[in-house]
Amino acid sequence: MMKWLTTTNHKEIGILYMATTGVFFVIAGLLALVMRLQLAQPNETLVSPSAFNELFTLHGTAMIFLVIAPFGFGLANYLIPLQIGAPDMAFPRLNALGVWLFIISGLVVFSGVFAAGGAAFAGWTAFAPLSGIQISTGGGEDLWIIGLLLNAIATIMVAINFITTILLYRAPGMTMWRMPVFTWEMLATALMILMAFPALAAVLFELLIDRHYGGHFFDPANGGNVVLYQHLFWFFGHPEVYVMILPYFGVVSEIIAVFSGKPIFGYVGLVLSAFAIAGLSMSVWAHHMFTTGAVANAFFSAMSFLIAVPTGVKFWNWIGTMWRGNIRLTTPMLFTIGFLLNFLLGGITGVMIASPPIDYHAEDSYFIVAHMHYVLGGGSLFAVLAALYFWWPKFFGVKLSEALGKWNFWTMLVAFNVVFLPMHFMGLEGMPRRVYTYQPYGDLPWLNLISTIGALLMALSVTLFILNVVVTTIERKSAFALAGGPPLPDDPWGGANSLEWATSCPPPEFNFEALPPIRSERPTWDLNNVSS
Amino acid sequence: MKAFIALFFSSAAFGAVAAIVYWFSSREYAGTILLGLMALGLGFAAGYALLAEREANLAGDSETLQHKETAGEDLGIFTKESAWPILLAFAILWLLIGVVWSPFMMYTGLGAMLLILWRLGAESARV
Repeated sequence: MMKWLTTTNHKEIGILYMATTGVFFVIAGLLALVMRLQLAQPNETLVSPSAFNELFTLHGTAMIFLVIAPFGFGLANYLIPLQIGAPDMAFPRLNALGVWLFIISGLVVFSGVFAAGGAAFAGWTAFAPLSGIQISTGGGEDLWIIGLLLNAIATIMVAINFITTILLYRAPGMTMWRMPVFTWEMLATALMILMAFPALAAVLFELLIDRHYGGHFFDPANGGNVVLYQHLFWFFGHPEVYVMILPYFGVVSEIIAVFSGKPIFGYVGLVLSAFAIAGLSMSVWAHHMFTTGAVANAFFSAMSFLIAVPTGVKFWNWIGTMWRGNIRLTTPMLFTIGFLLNFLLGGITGVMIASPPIDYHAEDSYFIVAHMHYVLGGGSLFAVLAALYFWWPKFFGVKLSEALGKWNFWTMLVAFNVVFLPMHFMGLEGMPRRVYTYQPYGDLPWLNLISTIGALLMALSVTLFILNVVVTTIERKSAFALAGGPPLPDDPWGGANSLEWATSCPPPEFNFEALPPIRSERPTWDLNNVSS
Repeated sequence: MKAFIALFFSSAAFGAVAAIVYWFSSREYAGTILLGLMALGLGFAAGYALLAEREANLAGDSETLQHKETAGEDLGIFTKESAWPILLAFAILWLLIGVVWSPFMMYTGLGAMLLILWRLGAESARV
């Protein structure tokens, strides 16, 4: 126990990150299930309106700040030093500080449930004046702000560590243009974090000053401006959604190459598109504000259409990698293909709402909820599962069950689409988001019922994954005992490219007993397949 | 390293162009300043890296260097374990709670932070 509290090893910190995100995922998922049960039928009274507000606030906050983004950081923490041939991160104790700030931030956000007035209820976006002291009078909102400040500080530290490690700790021969795509995507992610998260810290401090120190940043009656909150928040908020997807673009790139049995197609294009996305993501923020009437719609619409181009380049390269490849439909590859399908749908609806005339109709409706869940749930969540199945043997020395994995995938794919596809139509029929109930109008009742049934099926699918982990963990000890040590070879999947597959499963304390020569972007492939 | 410098300078240039175009299309201060600061920050990072690269001789930037040629190189401090990070995390939490609710907690939290940072420095000197 003390070892886990004081560790500074990047692998253990990575596992701490990922395990914590697993706990928060289950909690946030249960919150979503309660919301879906409340919305299963019109005029349902399972939860009160104020409780529903707390549910969607905590669900959104947890999924964004405590699950999807930090899982990527945890995965990168584990993999980056291995992929570049380094013994650890550049700043191990800063790394440890980051993970503890993250864990504490989650506990603080959820501790709002015990505050007078309940947890924060202003949504994960906490727009002023709803999050101001006149309306959010209780301590829940303050705890939410403190939690997110801790999270922001932790994330900035993570970014500093990633950039320094990637620039300065690459092994001999590991030039920038030989790094794995996942490491490049994390460099672009770290760049966005450094640009965006200070804006979040600033707006949260301003909110605190308005709430407790007599400030009027967002108070129009005293010279402030509520739209200023939205500018500052979304200047952070839009790059944040790319912080939540770029690591998973990297995951997908790695997995597709291995299970297509080919080198990655368009390596340079994948790298440059990551940075194009990073740069463009900083200039599209007010597409979340089209309906305020206070922003330059044309500018942001044009930039939002433009950002679809580098994403399209990535899809081109992934398909090119699979084209005429020797494709193996393992569980990680299935989840990766699921990612491609779901993220494509989410991306297409994103391009639709980049057009202000369409966005004026769809804004704050379930169409937006559908879009964001397709890219974050169908995209990032599927990639999280792909990453877990793919790298689990490297982390723990045993593979998760392929049979259970395939059941997990197919139930998740069906369930996910049953939950979120109907939401497009709910939105187009006019159902607003963040409402605790609705009238029995048009198709809304049966669409909501189908969505709720899908949510129950998703819960079953998640349970299958947890079952897979439990069964594998129980078997792990006997597997290790039978083999007299870790039972797997360094590259248990076969056909691996990057350096983490050139060391044992799991790796030793400082990662490599001996590094192979690095002469291309596929050093493990060269080690195993090219005679020297 | 050259790739990093090129990418960060390009991003800085993009930020500068975006700030100018944004100002003339919207005349909005907050976004223009944010984009401009972004360009400045990225430009600073790239400029610093450009200057630092002149003195640096990174093993990772060599396409042909063998591992044995860098054997014994000092890569810095890699602590195996340290209690200070988790203690510092709680000190920061104490400080922030104090910012909202209690000046006493705020000042003691700040004091605890400084104390822990001092001990962290001492730990680095020992390793």
